[in-house]
Amino acid sequence: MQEFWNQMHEFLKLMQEFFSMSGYAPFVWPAYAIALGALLWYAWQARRQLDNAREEARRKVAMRGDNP
Amino acid sequence: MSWAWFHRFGSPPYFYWVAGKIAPWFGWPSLVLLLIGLYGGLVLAPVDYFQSDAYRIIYVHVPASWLALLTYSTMAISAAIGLIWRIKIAHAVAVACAGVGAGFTIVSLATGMIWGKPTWGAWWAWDPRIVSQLFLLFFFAGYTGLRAAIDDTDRADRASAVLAIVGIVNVPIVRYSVDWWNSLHQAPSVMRADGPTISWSMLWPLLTMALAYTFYFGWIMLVRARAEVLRRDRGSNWVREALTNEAAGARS
Repeated sequence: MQEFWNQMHEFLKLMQEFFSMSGYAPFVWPAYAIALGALLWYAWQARRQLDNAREEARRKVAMRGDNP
Repeated sequence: MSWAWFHRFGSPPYFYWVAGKIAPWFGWPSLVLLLIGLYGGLVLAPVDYFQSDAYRIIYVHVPASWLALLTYSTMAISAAIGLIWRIKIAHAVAVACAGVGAGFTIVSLATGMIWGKPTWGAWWAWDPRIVSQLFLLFFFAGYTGLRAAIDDTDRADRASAVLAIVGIVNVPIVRYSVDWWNSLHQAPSVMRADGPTISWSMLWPLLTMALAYTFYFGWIMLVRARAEVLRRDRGSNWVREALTNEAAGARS
């Protein structure tokens, strides 16, 4: 059991070191959040744009009397 | 050399179909490369002697800056093709590039500011690289604003294409500003005639991230261009047929 807690302690220490980024965490993580947030946002927006364009086209076709 | 393949891309139904087929070949590799690049950049790459872990911002800042330049170049070339050969698909591609390009120019500037604070001691500096990057954002915004101001799509295509072509002058300025002028911004360390000056253990995650962003750009440009093509041709017969085929494909 003591072995387990020692390993857990080592793991938590490693994680703490990783997330602290040698004291630069307030700079590194916000930069990554902005960059990855933008990737996700544009991916979601592009999918939504295509879905909206399809929906609008379907409505237009339906108004003409055809039904895809 | 036959240009038939090039002219076929001018056909909206063909473009819509091909773009739909090839988009996933950009999307999924982008995701895999992004995960590998993030792990490499955040975990495997060693700590920098001078900047410590603050340098890890390079793995999101440089790819975003690269993507901003790539997007603007693609937008301007597409706009020129649309203007010269009157290919509407080319204008749709240019429109698809504009919004994403502006976003990634903002990301490049924001992550650069965040990196600047611990390394230069300032959030912002009136440095040639940063100012020319800011001008890139103005060109993207100008392109989008000009299109929004003109109701007629054909006129908006022509006017915005001229602006996009004029703005291409700024791309080499952004790229070479650190060579041409005294700059606070560091000199190129990857794209150099005498080879990269950055250690391979730090370089490979950067190249992986740049490749991930490039694939991401390919995917997002194709998805947005498909949406734009549909929006422009929504009353036409080919759209009806394409939607019928898609609905049948979804049912089967």
